[in-house]
Amino acid sequence: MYLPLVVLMYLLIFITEGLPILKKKQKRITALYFSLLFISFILMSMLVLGLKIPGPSETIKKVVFLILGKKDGG
Amino acid sequence: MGKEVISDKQGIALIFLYILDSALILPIAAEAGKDVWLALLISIAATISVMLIYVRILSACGDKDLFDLLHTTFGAVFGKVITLLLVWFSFHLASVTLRDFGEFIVTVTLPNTPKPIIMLLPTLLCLWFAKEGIEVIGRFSELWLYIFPVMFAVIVILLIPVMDIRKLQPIMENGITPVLDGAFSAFAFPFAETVIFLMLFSSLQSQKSIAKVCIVGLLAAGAVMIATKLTDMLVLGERVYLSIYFPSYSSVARLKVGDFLQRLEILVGLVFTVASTVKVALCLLASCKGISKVFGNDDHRFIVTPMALLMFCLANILYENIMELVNWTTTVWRYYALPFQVGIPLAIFIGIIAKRKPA
Repeated sequence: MYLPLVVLMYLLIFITEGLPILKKKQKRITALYFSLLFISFILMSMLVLGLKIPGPSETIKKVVFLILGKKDGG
Repeated sequence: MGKEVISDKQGIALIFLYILDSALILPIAAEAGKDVWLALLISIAATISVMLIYVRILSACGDKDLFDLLHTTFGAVFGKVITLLLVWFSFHLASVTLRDFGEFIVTVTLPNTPKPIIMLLPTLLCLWFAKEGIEVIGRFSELWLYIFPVMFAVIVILLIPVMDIRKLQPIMENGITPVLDGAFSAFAFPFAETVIFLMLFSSLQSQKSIAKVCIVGLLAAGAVMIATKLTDMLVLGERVYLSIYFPSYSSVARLKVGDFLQRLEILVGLVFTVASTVKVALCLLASCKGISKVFGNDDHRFIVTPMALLMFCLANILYENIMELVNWTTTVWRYYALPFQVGIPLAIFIGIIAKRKPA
């Protein structure tokens, strides 16, 4: 239901911000900008489609507890 | 792009709001129980010593920023690695703070509104703030520097009739260990989170006053924090303080002066909203500055939109619910944040000294 809105939002961002960056023809900046924008688009689409995306919190918790030698109590 | 400049007062206001933020409403230093004020005092003292390292690093920057200093001190590769670590920390912190905001609003005021919608509005505001730069955030914070302390003072004074000093006694009933545990917790969240300012305070008007700005900002926020937590404890008592998610909101909710002055908990919501916006904007700005520097660009503005959208997505997927948020914040955050708050600054400090030492 919200997916068309997300697509529209990203289209607007592409027109207002993406195109001027493309015109500058600076490879590194263009690559960085569009790769981050693409990742955020994928994540945002998955969010609005209600797909479950694993967050980093559980992994960080496991790593921290592994280093500290603690047991995960919850 | 011209260099952005903020005054000392704006710097103090930024630190003040940045520290207060979520710490104002969440039960920080809960491990210390009714000795929370003691734990806060110890953590403030510990933060001052760490902040002196931050000040030393910022003083070593001179006219450049932290990222240039890292490049010259540690070389291109290692300098970029440290920059990326700091970028990740500030980006993650921005998402965590945004999620705190979403959970607070959903829990206390808008339970039927979808959380992403609640988080989207501050995201857009912070996006604009980060694009405008630290000058605009500084001016916005300065506005609130006088309003908030007065608001806190009025609330605390009005709450005196419902306070009970016996709720603080006996002091250190369970020994010093829980107090130190609470102090460590409060050190990691919120005081030492000020490490973010390493990436931002190259904009201070006078580099000579870095120490004054940092210490005054910390002490002002610390004083308000102690007053708030002491009030929470005196009004609610240890058992209630530890059993609810937002004790400050609940303690102010008990304020009733006759039939005309009540429902002042909205003021807590206001303070939290403003402080959260400032904190998220500062963290987002710091991460954008860092990532654009890594890619060889001095202007951070081009990357703000994708970073803000990513921050919004990350905030949505961080936790399943508020219980997981509180559990993660109380059990994991302090250990996870310590390397970023103390380890990396210490390494930079040692690197600066080693570089300056004649061979």
